[in-house]
Amino acid sequence: MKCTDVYLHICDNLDQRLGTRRCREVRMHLRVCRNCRAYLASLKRTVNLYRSVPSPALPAGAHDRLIRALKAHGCLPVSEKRPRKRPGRGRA
Amino acid sequence: MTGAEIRNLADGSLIASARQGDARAFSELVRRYEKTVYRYSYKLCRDREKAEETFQDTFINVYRKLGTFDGRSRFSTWLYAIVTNNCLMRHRRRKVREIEESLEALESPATSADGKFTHDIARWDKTPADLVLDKELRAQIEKAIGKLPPDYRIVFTLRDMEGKSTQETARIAGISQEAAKSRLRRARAFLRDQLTPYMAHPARRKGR
Repeated sequence: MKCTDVYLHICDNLDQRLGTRRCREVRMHLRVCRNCRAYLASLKRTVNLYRSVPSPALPAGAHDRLIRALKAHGCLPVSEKRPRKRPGRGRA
Repeated sequence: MTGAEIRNLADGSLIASARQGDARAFSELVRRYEKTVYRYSYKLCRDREKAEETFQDTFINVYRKLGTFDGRSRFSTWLYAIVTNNCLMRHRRRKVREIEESLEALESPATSADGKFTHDIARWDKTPADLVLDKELRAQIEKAIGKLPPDYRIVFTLRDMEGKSTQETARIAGISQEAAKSRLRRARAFLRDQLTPYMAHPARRKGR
């Protein structure tokens, strides 16, 4: 197995421990190829770093602005009340 | 039906009621999915204002197209596809060809005729303790993902950040599974390359 084959395989199956013959070949290659090990490790870290970026919260007021837009486009009746306990407050 | 009863309804029942003009059912669908839609919109747009415009356009489209939802995929998959289309429409006017071409060339690290890497792959020597998202690294990550062309960012976001399967990613993006895999490979390789100068040289960090 070549480094290029390993590259394609590890990119498709980053965190999977599959039992196929191809996966066993990849694991054997990784045992002897320092470059492929380094590449796999850095790729996993890349993905983990991006996953660790916090997801943005819905901005304050975005829900109310959405409801207004939906009413303006006829998607909700103008008299539609929001299913909220405290109308008139911004949404965190 | 009370508000509590509406909140307990399954998506399918809400969709059926909303199709028949039940505004409370549609409002509940909005309430149920607005955070997911905004989060995904932001991850694709990388800009609060554009993300909110996409977020609003998405629910307007949902209302208008609800009659075409055939229930063969999950409602969330259908929603993701609408966000994706809205995001792509917004980006079509922008010039991204240059980076797109460089990504096409980014198939794998350089290899020799016998398929071996021709140069040593830089080791990322940072330990987990170093990988706390400090301001500098966070900025580097934001900058790198902002450089990814939308077609690649969509696949990377769906697969690696939203945790979708290859099959669902392909369905949402409207591409084949092979195309989804290929774009994911290139996106990961591009992002990795963007972070390598930072990750492979600890001396560059402040105070080290």
